[in-house]
Amino acid sequence: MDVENIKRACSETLVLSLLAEKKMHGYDIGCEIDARTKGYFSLKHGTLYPVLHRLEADGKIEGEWVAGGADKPRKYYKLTKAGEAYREQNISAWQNFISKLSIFVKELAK
Amino acid sequence: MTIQEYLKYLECNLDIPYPARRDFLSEIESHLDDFIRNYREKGFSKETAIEKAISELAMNQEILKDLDEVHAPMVLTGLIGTFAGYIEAFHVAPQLIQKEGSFPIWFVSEIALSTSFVGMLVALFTLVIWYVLSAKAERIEHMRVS
Repeated sequence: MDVENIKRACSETLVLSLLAEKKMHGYDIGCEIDARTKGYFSLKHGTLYPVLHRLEADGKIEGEWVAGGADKPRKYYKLTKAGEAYREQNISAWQNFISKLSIFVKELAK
Repeated sequence: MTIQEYLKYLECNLDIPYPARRDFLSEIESHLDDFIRNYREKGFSKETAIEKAISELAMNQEILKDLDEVHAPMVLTGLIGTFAGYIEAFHVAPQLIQKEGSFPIWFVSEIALSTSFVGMLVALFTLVIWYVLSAKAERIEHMRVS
């Protein structure tokens, strides 16, 4: 996880966690993040695209165009094996980060 | 602003290679369509739905710059592909037609390497040169035999 860039790391973890469940397209990902965090991580949808394209370029996710009948084709993303490993590594890094931060804040509150 | 005008604005402000740029714009178009459909179902007029969709997407200069950075390695690969195409077309192709069957393999490799539109064009140009030179060589051979 790129703790140097918390915002990006956070978006990556949210995206990877959703894609671990099922393949999704950009709009769905944005709406799901909003719905599941009850608006806490209400991202402007445009910010998802550099994240999605970076993960795709790194081979962590894979994009696939799917024709939607009367609708225009949509690009669905799914997690790759490398992406799954990266997601687990990411979650573990976040847990470590939160635990360290929490210890630090508790110490200060004493 | 219409969707097409907005997509044109994005295209003008993006610096990523052609196939990736086209795919990205299609992706954004379908994203906007979903937003618009959602707002229309909530009772908004078409114009307001478009306005809200563009605002929700919020594709600002910072995001476009981020996308350019993500695709920067592809631009480099495209330039390498273009350079390889040039070398093939003008230096390797004339020699390779002497060895029957070897050139198409080079051509396919070139296509696989080229991620830029220009690289693709050069690769196609290479194939045309190879075809023309092969035909010429065959005619010379035929004239020699007869």
